[in-house]
This record gives sequence, C-alpha cells and structure tokens, in this order.
Amino acid sequence: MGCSRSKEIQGGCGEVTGMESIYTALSNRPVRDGIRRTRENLSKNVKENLKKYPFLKKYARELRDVKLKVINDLDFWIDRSIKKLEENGARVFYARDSESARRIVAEIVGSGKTVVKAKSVVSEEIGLRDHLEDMGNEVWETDLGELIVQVNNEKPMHMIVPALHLSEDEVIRILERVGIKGKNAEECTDKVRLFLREKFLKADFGISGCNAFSAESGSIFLIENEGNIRLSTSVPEKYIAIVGVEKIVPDDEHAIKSIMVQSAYFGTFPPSYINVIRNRQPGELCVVFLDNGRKSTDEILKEQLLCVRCGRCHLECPIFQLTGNVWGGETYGGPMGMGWSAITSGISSIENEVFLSCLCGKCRIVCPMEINIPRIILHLRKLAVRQTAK
Amino acid sequence: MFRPGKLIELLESNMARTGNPLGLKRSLLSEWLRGLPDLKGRDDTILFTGLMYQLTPYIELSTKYLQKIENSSLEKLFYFYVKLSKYVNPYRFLTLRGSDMERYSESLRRIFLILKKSGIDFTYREDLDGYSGILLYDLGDDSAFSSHAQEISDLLENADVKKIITVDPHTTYALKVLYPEYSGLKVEVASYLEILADVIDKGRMENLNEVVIHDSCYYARYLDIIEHPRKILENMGYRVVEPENSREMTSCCGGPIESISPVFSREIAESRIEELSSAGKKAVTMCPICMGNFERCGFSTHDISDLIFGGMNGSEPSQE
Ligand code: SF4
Repeated sequence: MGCSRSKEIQGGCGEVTGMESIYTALSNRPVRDGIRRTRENLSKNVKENLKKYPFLKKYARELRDVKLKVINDLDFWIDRSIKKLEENGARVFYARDSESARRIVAEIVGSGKTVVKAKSVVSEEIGLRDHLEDMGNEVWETDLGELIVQVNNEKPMHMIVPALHLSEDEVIRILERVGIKGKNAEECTDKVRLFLREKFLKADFGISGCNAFSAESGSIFLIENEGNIRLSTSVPEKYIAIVGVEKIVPDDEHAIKSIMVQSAYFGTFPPSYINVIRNRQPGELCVVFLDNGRKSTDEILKEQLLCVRCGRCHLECPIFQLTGNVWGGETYGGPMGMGWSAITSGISSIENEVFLSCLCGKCRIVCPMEINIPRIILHLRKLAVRQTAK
Repeated sequence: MFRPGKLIELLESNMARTGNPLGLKRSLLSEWLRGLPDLKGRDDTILFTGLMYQLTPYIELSTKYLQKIENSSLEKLFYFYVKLSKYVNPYRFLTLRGSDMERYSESLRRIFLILKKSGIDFTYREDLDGYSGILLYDLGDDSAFSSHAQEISDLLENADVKKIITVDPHTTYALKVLYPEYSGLKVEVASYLEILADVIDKGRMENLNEVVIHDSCYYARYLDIIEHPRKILENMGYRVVEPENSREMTSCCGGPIESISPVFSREIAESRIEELSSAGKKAVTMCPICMGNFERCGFSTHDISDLIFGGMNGSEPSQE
C-alpha cells in the first residue's frame, strides 16, 4: 500500500515546490480586495444579464452541444477552416505546439518592427510578447490593464481584468515609467490613449487572439470594451490572429452566440464592440491555428475545451479569491486553469496545485458551459497519484 | 501545504490498522452510543454514521497543531509522525477535551433519537458501520478508495441490508453516488434529512428563533439536498434566513482543504463566517466538517440535529 510508495515518491505526491508564490499571494491584500470589488460588480451584472435576456442561457446550452460536436471532430473542422480562409485570401499556418507557433509568428514579423497587441491569453500561452521582443521588435499591449501589467512586468491577475489588483496610485506610478503622466485614473486613461495612438500609427503588425472562429465564413470574432482591438486589427498593414483550435464553431450564428455568452457571463453585455474580421484589403491577414495539446486530451480533460473564457469560475472560486491568478499554472489560473494548464503545459505543471482545491464545486455551477471542473481537478489528482505509484 | 503523498500514506496506514483514517481506537468512536435505548429495529434498514461526526473533533485537534507548522521547517515533524504511524497510535500524544468530543456525540445521539421519534424503523449495528473512505477519494487515491469501498459494500450486502440511512453529506455522497460506480453497491441510500423531510409535519412549534442556514457544498451541489433541511426547519417552526451565497451558490466552509492546508482552510472559513454572521446571530450547519472547521476558526454553529431535537422537545438548544 501507500507505505512502499514513499520511497519513490516524486511528482504530485513528492516535495511540494513552486507553491511559495501562492502563499505570498495569500498575504497580498490588494489582490484579494481587487478580486472582491471586481466580483461584486460583475456577479451582479451577470445575474441581471441573465434575468433580462433569458435567451442567453438557452444559447449557452446550445453552444455546449455544438462545441462538443466540433471538439469530437477537430481535424475535420480545422481542415474546413483552413480551406475557407485560403479561399478568402488569407495566409494560414498550423502550429503543433507553442514553440512552433512562436517560430511561425517570428518569421512573419521578422525584427526591428513595431507590433501592437490585443489582449490575448493564447499569446501568453505561447510566450509571444517576450519572444518578439527578444527578436528585436517593439511590442505594445493595447488593452489598458494589460499595458499596465506589461510595464510592471508581471502576470495578468485575471484574464479579462488583468490589473484588478492594482490601486489607482500604483497605476499612476507604473505608467510614469513609460512617460505617461496623469494625476488620476481618467487623466491616465486619456494619456494612454494618446500614447497608444502613436504606436498604432507606426505599427507594422497587429496581433490578436480570437474569441470565436466561424468555419462557415472563415471569420474571426472578437469582443472588447475599449476599442483597442478594432485599432490593433485594422490600422497596421498586416494582422496576425492566433486561434486556438477549440475556438472553431461551425458557423457565424454560433460564433455570435459564443461571444454573447462569453460577454454576458463575464458581466458586460452587450459588449461595446464586436469585431468580425474576414479579410484585410488592403493589407494582409495571417491566421495561425494552435494545437498545443488541445487535440490530444483525454476524455475527461477534453471537456475543458468547451470553455468560452468568461472568467466566471475564477471570481467565484474560494481559492482564486485569496490568491488571484497565481494559483492554477503559468498562464491560465483559477479553476479553469487546472484543466488548461494540464492541456497546454502537461500535468506536471500543476501537480501540486491541483491538491489545493476544496472541490466545493461552485465553478461547475456558475460555468455557462457546465464544465465539470471539480471532476477535472480530481482526475488530475488521480493521475498525479498514479504517476507516483508507478 | 502538506505533501499530498504523505497524507495519503498516513491515511492508508491508519486505515489498514484500524479502518479509520486517523487510526483511532474503535471504542472512542462508539462513545456516542452511551445511554441510547435499544439499538435494534427493522434489520434490513440501518443507520450508517460513516464515523464522520466521531472523527471531526480529532481532525480539528490535529489541524490546530498542523496549522502551526505548515510551511515551516517543522513540517518535517509531521512527516516523521507519518512514519511512526505505522507502529504506534499517534493519538496517544494528543488528548481531546471531553466536552469537545461530547458535542459531536450528542449530535449523533440526537439524530438517532429524532429518527426513532419520527417513527422510522431501523437498526444500528456497530459491526456494519464504518468509514466511507471519502478522503482517499478526494486525494485522488483511487485504488485504495475502490478496495475500501468494496470491503464496506460486501459487508453491507452480506448482511442483507436494503436501506442505509446516512448522517453527513460526505458519506452520503460516497455511498449514494460513488459506491454504485466503484463497487456496484445496490442498496438504497438516503440522508436522514431526506427521510425526515417526508415525515416531519408542519406546526410542531411556533415562534422559534430565526436561523441562518449554511448549506454544505456536497448536499447542495453534488446531491441536490437543498429543500429538505429548509422544509424540516420551517415545519419545526424556525424561520430560515438565507445568507449571501446560499443553496447551490453556497460558499465553502474551507473544511475539505484542512488537511492539505490549514492556513487556506482558515482563510476560506473566515470569509464564509463573515457572510453567515452578517445574516443573523445563529447559524445552522448540517455537516460535522463544516461545524468543526467553523469552530476551529472561532465561530460556533448549531448542528441541524440539535435544532430539530430541540424543536421536538419544545425547547431550543442553549446558545453557546
Ligand atoms: S471554465 Fe466555464 S466559467 Fe470558467 S472561464 Fe471557462 S467557460 Fe467561463
């Protein structure tokens, strides 16, 4: 039994390392307060959205079925999407892992260029910004929160509200480092706008992720509230979209439904801007499809691919409420981060963290896609324990 | 954070030795039976405590020690203790105040008496009671859990048990949902709250106090036992107050994580305590783990059985 195991203990059941930052986060009050504030606002909005627009729940259920169909037949849908994009005149690439995705984008961009980026978790996943900077490019995040986090050289604390843990004063001080001087939040926001405008105009490339991709029309759907995605994807001559293959839905109808569900469950509905990009003329559209573990998940982990990245499970999770995005893996954090980190970086990346969960199951209840996150966490624990027992 | 592998090792060795995860002497776990009337009744229906009420005061006691050494170099002491646990009963060194144990024993006795008073015909047999293994399952130790589940299932089926009455959410989940899957248990399982909800009629007493209800995660989200406790309390004349985050949105008490990280567990408990105490003075729990973890963090709650018992006897349990 267990006794014999201990001799060979390693992995999830061995030395607990890499957890220090989580305990540091625990004593970081601003993170907690920021999450609390954000949660109070957004949870209220979500409740109201769902009451006011009851069709959203119906859409979510329908979307789950449709996405499941796609995920069970990914190759077919990837082929179809590539064909459609090529018909539309786009350059299409396929990346098996993050390294090849970085290489593809680096080859397109080259060096000595200016790049403006829309906030994108998938680009964090592949470590794109650092890579492009290392290649001698000037890269700017254009989402206000993400820019602040970039300048402060840290990890986004929430995938949609990256700077929720920073106070107004801190933001003012951080922005000063790149010469943006304002006395308060409004002033800073105005100054950032001017600062970025100049970057947009001189940028050679715009880069974004994708909220939903329609295989029917070959279109990229993106939602936002600041207008920076619109500019990033349209002002520079060349535009690169990085699309996780799980973002594919069969048609425009479901792409629209997907972004509606995402924004409603995040807490801003309708979103201020909906961007639909089919081609770029003049200019050039490059699309990089990214696998990076998505196509080879096991049956239980596969459910995580239904995720629309609304961030609901984060804000309602008792552990996330204490630690923010520090718990859950390199890029992805919180309850959904367990599955996503396992898919994109392997189980070893979160083999200790999966044990730091109450399995209280609130994430499952609030998830629009009804993803059984506790089951995924438990599954990862089993794998960690089994690995140790080998 | 304590090493999951070490916890599993400890659980497995304790269970191999004593059948319970803490390695406690069986006699300690049977203390609640003292003073109870005849335990016999219909013999195909049994009360299955799953030992959770009996274990909780000991879990809380060890958590109190563990929280002091979490993440310090003293954590090693715990791992040393894990090694020792194969040879000696570590609880020799830890003593529990009688009153701490008594609270949990009292709740169990009351559950027994409430069921009898409500006309439920059942038997309690010590030899058919045992730990469900749920902690092994929660820690991902599937193989140990499944052989333990098999053992308990065989025991119950060989005794021709047809119906099992459980008393806490974790054991209920194990027996009702996991055992059929892991060991093919075919016996009907119901929490005593489900049973009572059908038999306790309206209007026993009026004007009892208001109580803030704390739903257990497992009852509310895994087993859909949400209305039952409310119906029982209301029929007993209590006014049930819903705190912020209740029913299927209930907030975790932090208990399930207390063995991995007492520190996190406490933080989670504290934020739930804030929600509960701002909704009213008196809170009711329906899981010993919730009650124990809140207690450790300085917040006293009433077990739902105490309120039902009080209501049946025309008096409310005294406020601690
Ligand atoms: S797992 Fe569900 S709740 Fe969490 S981000 Fe994804 S879709 Fe939203």
